[in-house]
Amino acid sequence: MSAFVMGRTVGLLVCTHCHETVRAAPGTRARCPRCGARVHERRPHSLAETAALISSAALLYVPANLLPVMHMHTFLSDEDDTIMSGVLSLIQQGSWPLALLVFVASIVVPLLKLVAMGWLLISAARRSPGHALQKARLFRLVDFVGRWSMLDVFAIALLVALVQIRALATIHVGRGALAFGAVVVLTMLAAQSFDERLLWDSHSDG
Amino acid sequence: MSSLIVCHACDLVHRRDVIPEKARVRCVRCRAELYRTNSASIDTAVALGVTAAVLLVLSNVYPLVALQLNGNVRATTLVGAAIGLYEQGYALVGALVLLTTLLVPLFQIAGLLYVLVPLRAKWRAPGRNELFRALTYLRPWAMSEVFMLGALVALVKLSALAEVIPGVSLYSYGALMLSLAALTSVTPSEQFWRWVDGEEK
Amino acid sequence: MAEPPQLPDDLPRAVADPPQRKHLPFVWILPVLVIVVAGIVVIQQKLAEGPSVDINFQAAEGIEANKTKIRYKDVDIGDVTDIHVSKDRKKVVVTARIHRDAREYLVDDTRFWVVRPRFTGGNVSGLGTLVSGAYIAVDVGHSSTERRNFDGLEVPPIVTSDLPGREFVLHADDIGSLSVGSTVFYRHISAGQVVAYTLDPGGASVTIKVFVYQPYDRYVTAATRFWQASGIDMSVNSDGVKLRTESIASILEGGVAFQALPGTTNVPAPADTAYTLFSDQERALRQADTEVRTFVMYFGGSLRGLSAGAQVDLRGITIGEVKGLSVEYERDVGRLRFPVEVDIFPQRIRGLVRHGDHPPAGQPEDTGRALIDSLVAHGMRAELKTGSLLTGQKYVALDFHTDSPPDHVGWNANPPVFPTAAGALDEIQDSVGSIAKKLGKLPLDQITARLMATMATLDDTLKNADRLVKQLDGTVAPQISDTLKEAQGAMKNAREVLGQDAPLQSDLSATLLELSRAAKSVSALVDYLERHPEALLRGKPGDSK
Repeated sequence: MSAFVMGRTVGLLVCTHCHETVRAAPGTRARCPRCGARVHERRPHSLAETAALISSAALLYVPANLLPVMHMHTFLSDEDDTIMSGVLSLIQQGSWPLALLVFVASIVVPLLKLVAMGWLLISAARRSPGHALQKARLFRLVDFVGRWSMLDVFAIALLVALVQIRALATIHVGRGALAFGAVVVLTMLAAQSFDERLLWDSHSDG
Repeated sequence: MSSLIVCHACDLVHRRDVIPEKARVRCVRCRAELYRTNSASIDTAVALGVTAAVLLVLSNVYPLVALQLNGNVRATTLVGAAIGLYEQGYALVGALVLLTTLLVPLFQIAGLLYVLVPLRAKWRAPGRNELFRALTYLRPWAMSEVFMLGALVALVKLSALAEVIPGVSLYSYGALMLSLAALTSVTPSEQFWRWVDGEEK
Repeated sequence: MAEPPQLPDDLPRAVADPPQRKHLPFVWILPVLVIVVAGIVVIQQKLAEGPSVDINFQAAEGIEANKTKIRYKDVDIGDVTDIHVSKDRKKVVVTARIHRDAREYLVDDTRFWVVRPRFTGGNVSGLGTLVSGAYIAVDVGHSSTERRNFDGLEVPPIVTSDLPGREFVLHADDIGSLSVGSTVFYRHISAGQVVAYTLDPGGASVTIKVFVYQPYDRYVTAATRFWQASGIDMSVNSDGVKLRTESIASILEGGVAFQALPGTTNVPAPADTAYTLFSDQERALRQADTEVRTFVMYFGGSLRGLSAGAQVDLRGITIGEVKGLSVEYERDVGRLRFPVEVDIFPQRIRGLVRHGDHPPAGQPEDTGRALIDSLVAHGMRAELKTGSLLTGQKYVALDFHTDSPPDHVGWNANPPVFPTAAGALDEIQDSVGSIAKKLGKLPLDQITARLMATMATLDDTLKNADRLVKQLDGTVAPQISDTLKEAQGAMKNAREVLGQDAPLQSDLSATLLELSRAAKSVSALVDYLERHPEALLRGKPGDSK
């Protein structure tokens, strides 16, 4: 049975960038000899930064879904579309798979990110040891999947660019799009600023 | 100390062992990938880089897609879509779109080529380390594949409105997405630094 | 523990191939492939691309690069790719890419213009572009020469090259109230438009191009007349004031009307036939008078109110026109004369005469002359008459003046002199003039003086008469009353006498004598008093009163 030793206890640091293992040096301004990146035992202020980012994103999540992301003006009607109504219109059109995709990417994923990161933050802050592997896996999932929420933003960008036939239909961006873009960016930044090693710190060093 | 490896995800110390070909070594505790065998060559990376570069240029010269209704045709390029957002007053969103679909991929391709081509010729490009660090940091921000899916959603929505005519750029951007994904998969940071080590030794 | 199987010693040893780095790994196929495919795509696109055109405009209002479309018959055939100011800063060059299948539209006489909301000539056009955005419209020409550089029109063309109809050319002295876009009317129907006009070289006249739509263009024949139907046609002549308009639109923007002369050919005229633009309908539809005879007339009175164009009228029928007025100075006599040049159309007279008569034989020249001579011999003279008291316009009236002195046409002069008669008004004027002269000659001062003196004397006389009357009342009156009483008595006696005795003639005559004596004495008295008013005061000399 191997003994679990944490690098920090034996003076070993790993460069987060190039994953090179290096010996710790005194002082806090250490650099990786291979790639030159800053090497830290743990990313400084990780929890604080991540918490700030996540809370801002959570605040923006509300207007992102309530405010319309798109205004469609036709000679018949004027429509305001939120993300949800976009999903519904895809369902109406008969494109179930795409509706599901947009629903997952634009509504489920950001919510998941917010909730997951929130839980992870709390867990790391309280140094709770349970379900470490699952938490790590969750984090990796969040990190990976985060960017896919941008899906809707790109769709809107393309719609706006194309549907500018003044007499018949025009599409304008709505404020919700800005909020939504911000949510995606902030959660991505939050995932990057979170040091996942913190999840394992509560485990006893071997 | 090269016989020991610390997991970057959970800080666990491992012993470095000889591993068989084409295997991935994972952390015992958290299953994070520690390292991979040196399977790809710089050539592959450079070739993919060149491919992606050509495709990127192609994607920006020609329009992505055109919408036709009653003899009215309206087409847009990638840049055109971003500019359209800017013109409507949403400069930030437009900048975000441009960044994630054009600028970051461009930076990735150009940066990698800048770094890899001299590496293959066994000399060191100035600012290589910092540049590569920046490239790695920016990796998650290249969202070509997300864009393709978003474009698909948009086109499906539009097909209910008018006739949708895909342009050259749509296909080339799809190919770009694939080649860029391939490029990033053969140039993870460990791999790169191994190349550096290999070439410099 | 199992022993590993013994390997024979003479097993060949595998030879390791030296590492090959000579040729590129297969992965390089990928970029090469991609480059090739990209190249093919690029070439394909270039081939499928249409031509690029440059259109020059004065200003680029409403046009945006990469947004504004080029449209033909409302179908997109191209896009504007670039707009920039020309090097000489005089125009704006709009570069556009036209679709490949529309390249055959780009010929020499193709025209481009910007469609945007416009208000011209009473029409509003291009309102749709407020919603859809301005675009550049195309009128494809029929030439076969290709062209890539065009001068755009600043104003939409009046007629596009595929509009059915024909163009004609009109010549006029001035443009009147016409402008580009003015309507051409046929029997009050809007049948065409003025397309363009230019000043002729020399600046003496104007050439106007009009376009007549189908099906009205087939009514334009060789004998068609065009006239200005602009605005309100008000003609002021000896007939009075005449008001004529074509339509409200033509009042605002001017117009041209046309009509074929009645009883002429129905063959439509070919395009670009030239016509004269007359100034009004009447003038236009006047039958061409092939025979014109010019005469000169000398009128006695003032020519004021007579103008060129005034009618020469024979008993109400116009048979000629005043051509001009001028002044002549007869040096030897030292006198001014005012010749009036007149055009007579003998055809019209002949036309009048023809009814009932056999057509005159001989040359028209001779018969015309003979006819006029015969009329003059019968007393036909020209005189000026006022046609309209409202306008004061005069005209020349030919009529038979049986009481005028015999005269003849002066055929020797050129133009021949037609005899005139004094006008009635002239006579009145003359006599008034002479009366006025006579009045002027009277010594009014002297007469006035004498009158005053007489008035004074009369005044005295009246005063005396007043006194006389008073005296009469006082003194003479009783005498008179006595006398009268006597007369009365005598009368009574006479009556008595006469009543009783009829044949008392001697008494009666004596009484009558007495009566007459009495009357005589009264009259003698009055006479005397008249001569000697002082007798009232002093009495008669020798009178015992």
